[in-house]
Amino acid sequence: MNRQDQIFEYAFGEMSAQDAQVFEASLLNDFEAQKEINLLKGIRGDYSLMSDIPEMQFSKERLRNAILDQGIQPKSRPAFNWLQWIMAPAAVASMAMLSFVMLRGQSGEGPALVGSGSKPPMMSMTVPGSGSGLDNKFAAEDSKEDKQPIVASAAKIDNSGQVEVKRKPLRRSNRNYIVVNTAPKIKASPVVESAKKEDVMLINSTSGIAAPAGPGGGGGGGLGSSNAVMASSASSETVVMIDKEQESGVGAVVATEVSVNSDVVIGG
Amino acid sequence: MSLRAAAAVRQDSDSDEALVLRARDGDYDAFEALFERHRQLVYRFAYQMTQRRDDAEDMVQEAFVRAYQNLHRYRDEAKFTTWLLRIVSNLCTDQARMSQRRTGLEQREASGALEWMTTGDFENPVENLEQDRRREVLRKAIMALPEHHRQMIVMRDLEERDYNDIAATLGCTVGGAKLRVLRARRALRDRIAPLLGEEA
Repeated sequence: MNRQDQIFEYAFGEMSAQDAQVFEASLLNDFEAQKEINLLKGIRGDYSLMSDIPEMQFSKERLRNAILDQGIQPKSRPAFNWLQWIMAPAAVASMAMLSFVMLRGQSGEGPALVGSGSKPPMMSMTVPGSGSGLDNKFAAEDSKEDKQPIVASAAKIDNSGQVEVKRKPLRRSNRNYIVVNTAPKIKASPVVESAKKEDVMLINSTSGIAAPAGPGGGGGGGLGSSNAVMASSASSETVVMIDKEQESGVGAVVATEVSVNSDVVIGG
Repeated sequence: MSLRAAAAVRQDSDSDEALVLRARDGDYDAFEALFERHRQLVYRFAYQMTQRRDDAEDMVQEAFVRAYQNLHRYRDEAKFTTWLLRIVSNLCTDQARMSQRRTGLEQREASGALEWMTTGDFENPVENLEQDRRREVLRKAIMALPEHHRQMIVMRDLEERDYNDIAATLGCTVGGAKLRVLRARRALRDRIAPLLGEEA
């Protein structure tokens, strides 16, 4: 409590006797405080002048007229609404579930999201027969059932199958490209050299052949070029198409798994 | 039943809470008993806030009508008078908002002139003049305060309610009530000092 507060407390008689004695001793040489206290005591004394209040003319008959004649009744207590109490927790639970699902979707769980933010993404891949795999459950399921073994994931990284990602500036433009080296070596085909200049790279998981895609690539461009590369491989092979541009929504490199047979994009 | 027990039962049946229970069940006489018991308290507070008798009486009527309509909201943990003063306090706030829009200055001055002519001690006219001047200064200063400061001055300094009551009425802590009163006193002091010819 500062000095001004003490002055008010003392002047309005709200200070304890013990504190008042100490405070009075401190007032002896403080003329400003004494003047202030006199002013406040004068105001407090004038409060008694405000006590003259004219007689009230308001009678209980007037109140009776105001209440009974106008038919005013006490409002009844609102009834307990069971439905409201049941619906409220259900609504809260559904909202919580919805927000959980939305947050999970934003966090990027799933094989399509590789890395996040501005850091270069770390990738891990499995190639059938290599023995080095992901501990990602999606990878296990995929390799057993669909024999589509190539999975890229940022959720869990297996050191044995870790992919080294190097980023280098593209000569002709500002876009980056990716050179992928996996533990089970992917044989570099002649088309890999030309893929360095491209923005999208196709990796044949079974044969380990990497091929460029897009205009100017060795295969002639686009998905058609990847099909051309795969033509020499088994008919039911799977490729992963890694775009070297980051997707604007998630900030991660886009890895797209493509089935050669159906040309259906499974992940992306 | 002993005399003491009978007296206790009768006292209990006359308590505010018992009267409220009866009034809730439709016993209007019980509510009228509450009105008789507390109307002066409500009127004093309303008058100090408005400084006009007819406004204060209107406020008394409105306060008791609202209290009657909302008896089911009254909980026993607060005193009935505290609950009643809360209603009046809210009414004062509402009225202060409305009065900002209307010009009641002329009426107020007219009633002040009437008071000047009809009140005072005629045996000592000089002292009486000085008293009237100081009362008028104080009244003007209080009425010039913002409504929330005025409420504090009326509750604590004019009606001399204790801080626990004020805190319960305002729905705040005792420390909070003390702080509000202190701020209101500071505001009042800053308005009165120039009017009294003192240094601000």
